[in-house]
Amino acid sequence: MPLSRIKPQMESSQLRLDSSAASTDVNDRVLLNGVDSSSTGDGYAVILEDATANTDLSFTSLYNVTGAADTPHFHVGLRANSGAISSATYTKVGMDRVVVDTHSYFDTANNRYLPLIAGYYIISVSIRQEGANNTYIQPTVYKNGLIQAGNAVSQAVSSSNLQYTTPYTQSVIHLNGSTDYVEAWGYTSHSSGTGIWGYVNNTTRMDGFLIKRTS
Amino acid sequence: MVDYYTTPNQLVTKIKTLYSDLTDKDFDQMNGGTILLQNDTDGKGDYIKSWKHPTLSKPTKSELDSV
Repeated sequence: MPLSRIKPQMESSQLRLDSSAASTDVNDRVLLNGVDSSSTGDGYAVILEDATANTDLSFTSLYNVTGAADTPHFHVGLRANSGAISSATYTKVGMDRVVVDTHSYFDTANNRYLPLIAGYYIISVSIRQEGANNTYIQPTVYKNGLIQAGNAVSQAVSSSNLQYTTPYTQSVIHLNGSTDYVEAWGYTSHSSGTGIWGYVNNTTRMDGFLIKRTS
Repeated sequence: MVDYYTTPNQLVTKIKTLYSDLTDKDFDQMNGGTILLQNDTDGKGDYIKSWKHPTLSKPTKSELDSV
């Protein structure tokens, strides 16, 4: 790449390309610690011109991109089995074990995830049923106190009851980065007794991560 | 005024006793249920969050307590 296309006002640790320069050529590229062993300039290209005189540049590698750590993600669970859970009653899962919370957005006092970056998040909830005589389990994602998504498993898909079954639900949810929050809830039915949600191997849990920023 | 029931299964059992035609499906919001019972896991207990049943009226506290 001709030096004329490199913008002169570079700052520390930056390399700026001059967008007003003449159109780029095929194979123009920016190399990082490249092993330039041939006349074509092969190496660790970060961006690569794929055709002459167009506006596109190909990103050749996103592995270990600096900045990925700025993507919020979290994983919370239970420290012990829950108390008795009523049948046919949506019950909030009291997540009290924070395994991962990159930005400290999980509110342990209120058992909710309230991220301060607006965007679309993948949110997942799974619930392990420890109690016997369970006939139906529905892990559910709540957004701002309202049901957002749920996915049930019923006795029809199990031989007898659903003890030790761990159904799972997942949804893409937009959170506004200021007031929106998500919570893990569960709904169960039992032929007798009550439900108990298990903590073993972190099977009852909620996790999620940002997939696209919107501001 | 929200009425709470701290004993597990107490509220849903009382409601089903009052209205014997109700099944768990009537409480399942992902299956068209019109009655939403909740427990916020804050120690207060189970309560009726919303009641939108087309024919059955929401029971009063005295009706529930009489069961």
